[in-house]
Amino acid sequence: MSKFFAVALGILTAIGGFVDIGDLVFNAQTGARFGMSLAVITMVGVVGICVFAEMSGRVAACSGRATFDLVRERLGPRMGVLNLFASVAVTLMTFIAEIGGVALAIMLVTSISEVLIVPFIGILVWAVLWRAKFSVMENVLGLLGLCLVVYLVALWQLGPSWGDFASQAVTFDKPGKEDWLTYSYFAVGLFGAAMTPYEVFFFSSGGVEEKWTAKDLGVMRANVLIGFPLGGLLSLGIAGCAAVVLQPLSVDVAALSQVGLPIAVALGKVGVAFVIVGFVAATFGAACETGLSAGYSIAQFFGWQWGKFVKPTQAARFHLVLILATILAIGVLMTGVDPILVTEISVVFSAVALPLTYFPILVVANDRDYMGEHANGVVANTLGSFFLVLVVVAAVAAIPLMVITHMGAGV
Amino acid sequence: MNASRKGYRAAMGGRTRWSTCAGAALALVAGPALLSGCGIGHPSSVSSWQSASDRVLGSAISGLGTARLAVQQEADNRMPHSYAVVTATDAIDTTGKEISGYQVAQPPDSLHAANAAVGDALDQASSLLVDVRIALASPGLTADSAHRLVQRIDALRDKLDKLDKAVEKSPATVGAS
Repeated sequence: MSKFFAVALGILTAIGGFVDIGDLVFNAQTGARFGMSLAVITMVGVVGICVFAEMSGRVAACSGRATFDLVRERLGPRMGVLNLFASVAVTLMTFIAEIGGVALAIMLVTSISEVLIVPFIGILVWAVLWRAKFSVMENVLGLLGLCLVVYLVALWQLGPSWGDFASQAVTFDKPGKEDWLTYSYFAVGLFGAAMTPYEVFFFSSGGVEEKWTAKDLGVMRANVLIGFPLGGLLSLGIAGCAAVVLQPLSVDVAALSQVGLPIAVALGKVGVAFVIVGFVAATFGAACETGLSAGYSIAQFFGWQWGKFVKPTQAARFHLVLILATILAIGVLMTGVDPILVTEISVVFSAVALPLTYFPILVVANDRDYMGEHANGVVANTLGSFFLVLVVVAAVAAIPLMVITHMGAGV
Repeated sequence: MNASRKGYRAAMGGRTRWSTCAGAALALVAGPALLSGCGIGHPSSVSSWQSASDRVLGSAISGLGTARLAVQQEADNRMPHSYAVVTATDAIDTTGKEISGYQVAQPPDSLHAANAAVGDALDQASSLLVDVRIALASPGLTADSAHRLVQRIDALRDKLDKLDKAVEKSPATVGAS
């Protein structure tokens, strides 16, 4: 019974914790502009994150060590530094975007400028990272994130033409006014948003924090292979709602307030209350995950004591990184920079950093010295190699597409 | 002395190579930009003016669409008041940024009238978005005032849409009459 409860809780938190500010913004943008014609990209991204999250979870469970711990040891310091620099830069950018996202969500109910809210959010995130138990943090925020299921209810309530949705999804057709380069930019963005690097750092480090062993592989796989795809369904729900409500009015999503508008149309005030709680939980949860991921990456690379399973005094340098990351995020957001812009940039640069994150995981998961009998098999290697090719293509295309399309505004 | 001059020359030679490389890189970046009229105050080409006008008109149409949804949901009591006000403010903010970016560019010499017509329509869109925000924030909407605002929004969206199509098809005719 307790195992069933653990699996159910893990799946629910994986669903609730799947969506972050990048998913909210990019899915709403693509739905509003391209309907469901990019839905397949979201699905491909979800399969990709499942493949690599399972791999990194397996590495954590079998070796008892997290990703970066092994990357430096297996690939050497030079490759490790490159990997560390790219991953931490992107993770910090995402951390800033998530804290900004929490502030924007709270602004929707208070009307107080997000710049004034940011310092309080930053301190609250730091306090949670400092004091809250790992399992409490993960479960509470993950379960509250389930409020975003309201998008699926709203989509059902809006009653779109499901046949039309399916047709758009399989024909890869774009609306007449849009150009293919902009279409490709959003495809890369959606893929980057689904495969954000911090998710695997957090997942594998979380496995070490929760002391996974090979016996936990079943629960871990259930969380990933059931929870993540259902989380991906929320992403499709966001895109679907935007396609039904925002696309006919030619609304181009550039603010978080626009992401929640379809919920008001479909479900009224009760729905809006759910979606705001969902926004706060999803972005706050992701802020905690990205903050911890930055700390994990740096501490694991330099061999410092890390994690929330040890007292802060024993992992002082890890907690110092968390404090510095929080100060950096507050400082950047207090300049008045648009958090949505930071989100868009962080998602594009996530796509650029993807190969540096996922290639080492594939290498380590194939190493029988660490993995023993749980090293990658043919299926994991075939899928891993396929997605590695995709992430390289996305990484190469991301910045040129961002420049040429004026960040998706059009050629 | 000779040795030190040689060293000096070598050092200066190194610096010259670096400055040559930097100059070449700058020319590579700035040259095409200047030639294509990207310098401040240089007239843009007709096609880039069309693209920029299309983008900014699209942004204004999007802002008005957002405002329309906010007005309707507020009038139907389907949205918290603060959410509606923030949505309208966001619409002003995002549309305003696009408009100011558009206004600093120099139009092609043959399209000053067209540029003025687009600018005039954008001013109307900005004003209407501000009207919506003011009406939403205080004193709040009645069924009548919401209906009037939606009618004004729809009329202006229609006008901007027609203007956008004209800009795309025959920019020289825009603002000619």
